[in-house]
Amino acid sequence: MSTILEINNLYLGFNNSQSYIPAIRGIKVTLKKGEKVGVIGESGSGKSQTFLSTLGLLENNPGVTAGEIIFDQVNILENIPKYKKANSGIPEKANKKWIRSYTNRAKRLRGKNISIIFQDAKSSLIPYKKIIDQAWDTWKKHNIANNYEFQNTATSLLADMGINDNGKILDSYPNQLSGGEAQRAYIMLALLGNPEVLIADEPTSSLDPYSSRKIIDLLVKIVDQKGLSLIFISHRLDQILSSVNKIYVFLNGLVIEELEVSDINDISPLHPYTIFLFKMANGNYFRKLRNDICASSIEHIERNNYGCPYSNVCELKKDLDNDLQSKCNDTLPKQRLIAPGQKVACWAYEK
Amino acid sequence: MIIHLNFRFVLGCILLLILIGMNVVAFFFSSDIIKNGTPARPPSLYLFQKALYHQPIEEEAVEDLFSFSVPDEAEPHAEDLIFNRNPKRTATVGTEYRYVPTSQYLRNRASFWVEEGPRGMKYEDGAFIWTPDSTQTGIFDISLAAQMEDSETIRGIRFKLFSDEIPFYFGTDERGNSVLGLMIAGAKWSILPGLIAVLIAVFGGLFLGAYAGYNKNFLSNFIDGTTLVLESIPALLLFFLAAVIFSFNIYIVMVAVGLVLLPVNINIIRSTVKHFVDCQFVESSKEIGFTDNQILFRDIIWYNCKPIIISQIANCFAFAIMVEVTLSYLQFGIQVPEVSWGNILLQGKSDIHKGEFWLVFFPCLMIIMSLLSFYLTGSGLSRLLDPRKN
Repeated sequence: MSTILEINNLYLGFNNSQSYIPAIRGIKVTLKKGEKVGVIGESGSGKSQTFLSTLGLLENNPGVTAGEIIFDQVNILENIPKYKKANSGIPEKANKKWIRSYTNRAKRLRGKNISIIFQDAKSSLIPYKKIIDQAWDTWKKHNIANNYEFQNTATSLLADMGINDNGKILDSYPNQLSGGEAQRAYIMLALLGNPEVLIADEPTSSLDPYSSRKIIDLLVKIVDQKGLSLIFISHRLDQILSSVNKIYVFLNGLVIEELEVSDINDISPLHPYTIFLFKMANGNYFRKLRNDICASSIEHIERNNYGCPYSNVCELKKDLDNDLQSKCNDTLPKQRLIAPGQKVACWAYEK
Repeated sequence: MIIHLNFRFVLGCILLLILIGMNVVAFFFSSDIIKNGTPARPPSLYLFQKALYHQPIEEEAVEDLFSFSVPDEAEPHAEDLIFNRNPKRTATVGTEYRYVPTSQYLRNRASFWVEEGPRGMKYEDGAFIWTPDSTQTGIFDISLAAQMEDSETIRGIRFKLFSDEIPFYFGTDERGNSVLGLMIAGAKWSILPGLIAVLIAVFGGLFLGAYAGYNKNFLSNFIDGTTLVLESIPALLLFFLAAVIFSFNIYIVMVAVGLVLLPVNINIIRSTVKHFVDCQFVESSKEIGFTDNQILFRDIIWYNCKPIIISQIANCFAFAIMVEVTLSYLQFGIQVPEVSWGNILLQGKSDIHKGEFWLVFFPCLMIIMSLLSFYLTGSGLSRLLDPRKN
């Protein structure tokens, strides 16, 4: 399988009034053709920003400051200027000329190569515009030649998602749809441009558990059917665990663990934060594990711009010697391969 | 597709069509529409004459004629008066003029005759009858008299009778021009000048407001500031100034009207666009691959701002017509040889205490009709296009 999307050593952040706040600090994500990747992390960890940057949808003040995003062997961040001040924490103005060329390069990918499904589908659809009009405009944008196939494509896409009475959905306004119907309609719009990569940015967090599970299953089915690559961003591990090949765990703008999922029953996370996440996910079924977490109050994960982001609450840190403990606080851990298909950024596994 | 026509849209369209028809007539047949007749003639319709135009009945005898009573009947009747009705004061050549002075009950006991009047007017079968021939046009002094049986007192009525070749349904002014023709000629200054103001105000406001609402840069700030400056100009003063400088050219005054209405429209469109720009669907439309112009003009303005723009067009038209009428009334607009509703209002103002209401009433009616036509059509159309209603 060839690599289709590669994000290397990406840095991005935003200017505050006084300082530069780094949101992503040097991450590496690879996506192969036909692969399904899960991205998990707490809110504010930068998982959405990473993938919005592939389409140039960030607020560019300054936005991306270093790294490369390679889609189909083309680097979107070509000729990126050096933001020396920004990367050392001082606010710096964005290079407008480069931002323009980067946005133009990213615009070519939008909808046609990469599509994003957002969290709240109802507000993602244009109000007071019928679904069929939105679909028609999307179709015209991406498929210039074969207009006569539009009706067939739209109805078959809706039929794939389990909607047989598609006339009702196509002929209604977004406010007349239920949450699940709106999400399906939006997935249909996102797929009309025949993208190669589909990014699902918490697509089901506004739905109830049953219909969210249904939407995820349909999404995975369509992705498998069409041979697309899927990036599934979520903050709930149990939602994505069954449907992905690989999981990236984000924390404070870092990928702290990357693990391949071949068998759901045989996953052994190593980083303490990932272990915590797995305990929370499985805690629904194993009361003992859950009680373990519920008994002790959860501490706030403090933002640490220099060392490991998890260092103030880490359990493994207590058992380490003083030398490594100071490294935990002061130096960013690097990712290293521990087991096949499993990379961890943690000083405890440095030996 | 089923179109849910609503009442206000239909009524507004009918009124608007009448207004447009009057404009067409005024532009292409302007020389023929103003007919000439007797000056200051009231409208032909008896309802108007009765309700709004009173001339006092002159009684020649002071002594009460009807003090005697019929022995069988205890209380006096309402028909005790002989000339108990206002006579009709207008006559048309070729049609019969007929005035029934009183009731059947008294007619049998009284005798009637024409004291002073045009040739051919006579009392016959309980009514004064006259059919003017083609030479009998003009204003006639009429004096009618009546005398009861067994009584020496004579009661009379004196009034002016206007006789013309055609019935002037809206009356005439002091020069004898038909008010209906003047109304049609005055309609010329309603739609075309208003169109200039609307083009500047609404379409200028649409593009500038959309730009200022969608973008955040120097130019959008500049537009914001400019609206503040334009808003602070006193409107009426600007209109007077434009009228005086450009020698009362109404089309240039309408440019000033457009400039006064421009900041209002910019603010309305900008705030609406700003509200939509923060919505999630803008980002998701960008993600699907639409350009900024497509999102702004198609998704935000075409699909979401149509009702607002239509009602703004109607409001601006109405405002422009009001300004034209006001300026003409104040003699800053259309100057006298040309006819405008405002001019006629000014003319009619001086005679209204004499009961000559029609030079004020009909211009007001036209102004109400034109404003109402725009308001109703605008409101009805914006309801029709509002997707929430369907």
